[in-house]
Amino acid sequence: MDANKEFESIKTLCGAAELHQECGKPVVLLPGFRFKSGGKDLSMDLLLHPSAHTGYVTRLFFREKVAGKGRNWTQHQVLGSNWWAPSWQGVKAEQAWPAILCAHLRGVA
Amino acid sequence: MNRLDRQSFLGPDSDTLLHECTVGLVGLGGGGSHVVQQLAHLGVGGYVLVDPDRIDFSNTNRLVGGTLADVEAQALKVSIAERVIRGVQPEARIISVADTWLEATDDLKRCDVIVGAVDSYKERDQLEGFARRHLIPYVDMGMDVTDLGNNGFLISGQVISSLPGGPCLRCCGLVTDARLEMEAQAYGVAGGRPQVVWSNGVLASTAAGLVVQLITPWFPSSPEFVYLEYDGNKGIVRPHGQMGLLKGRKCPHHPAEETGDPLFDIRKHLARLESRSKVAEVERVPLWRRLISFFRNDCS
Repeated sequence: MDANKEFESIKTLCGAAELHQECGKPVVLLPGFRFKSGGKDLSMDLLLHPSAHTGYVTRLFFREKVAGKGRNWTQHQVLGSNWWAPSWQGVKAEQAWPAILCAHLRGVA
Repeated sequence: MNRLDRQSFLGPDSDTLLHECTVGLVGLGGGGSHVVQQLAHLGVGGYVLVDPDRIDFSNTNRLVGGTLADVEAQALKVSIAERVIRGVQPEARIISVADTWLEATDDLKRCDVIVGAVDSYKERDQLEGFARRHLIPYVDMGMDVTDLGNNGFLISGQVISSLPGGPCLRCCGLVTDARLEMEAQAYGVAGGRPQVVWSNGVLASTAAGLVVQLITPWFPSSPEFVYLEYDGNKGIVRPHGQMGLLKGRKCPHHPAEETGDPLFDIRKHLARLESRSKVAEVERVPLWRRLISFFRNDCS
């Protein structure tokens, strides 16, 4: 998978996205990303980890827990700061990054 | 006579070096409590103590410094560690964080060495990653008891000195995606794992020795990557087979360009410092003054 090409496709969803690296793997920061949760519009920094992390095949980290949504939230240190992630297993890495992002957001929809 | 005279072989300035350094200790249970005690005796001057837990009765088989009175009082493990340190060094510089290490990162960033005595691979992996990002040497220790069926139980463990640029826990094969996956699948079912005081003590003493190697000029050469394995059934600590193979190798998991805080924002940093100093200011005003002030403001 070409990280730069995938990153370009993510930028169509979030122009302010930044491509970083953690443990040699690409990580995408999505500053102030807007998404729907429980019918409400939310906006917060997200971090997409499109490869294996802490035993999950891919992960999406949230700056804060999404109240009332997701299960078993745990805190993590990625890119030198703290993030939250719900337990949302099974989002395969062998798909486009926007698809990975959407699949994870379904976990807090 | 100086309290530390009998360890003067560690180098001419070793007392000062030990006094001036700050060691972060994450996990103050069976392993970490031993390390704290030894560092206090050695004369380490600064500590960042991190553990969210309180002592319970089942900890008294191994938690150094913990008493039945502490169990009764449900004392925090950081408070017990602080008491152990102050018993030898009343003037030690101690920051205690009774929370997860993720809530102590501002203080851990300022440490000269971090010692991790944590239970999970996930914690190890991320704590080491944090230390690498901030160019802080990390000493990891862990023990396990494996049921060998008819052959009884095997006590084993390891101590690893992970230095920026050198081999890491992933290079050693200690942290793997497969182990992390197994751990994630067992989410919430992790019970109390077997622990015994003497093997914790062996591993903690080994870790304390590695910390001293990093801080003092005891060894003439620069500190290097160390990977020691412990066989508790035979009572042996020896270099792991991987140690020689990995020595001198660059770590592919934590490349040099991943150092520092890529999301650092000076505005957020200053705002956080300001709110911290406001809290500190409030805490400096005696309670009775705060109460008078509260009632005056409230009644006017």
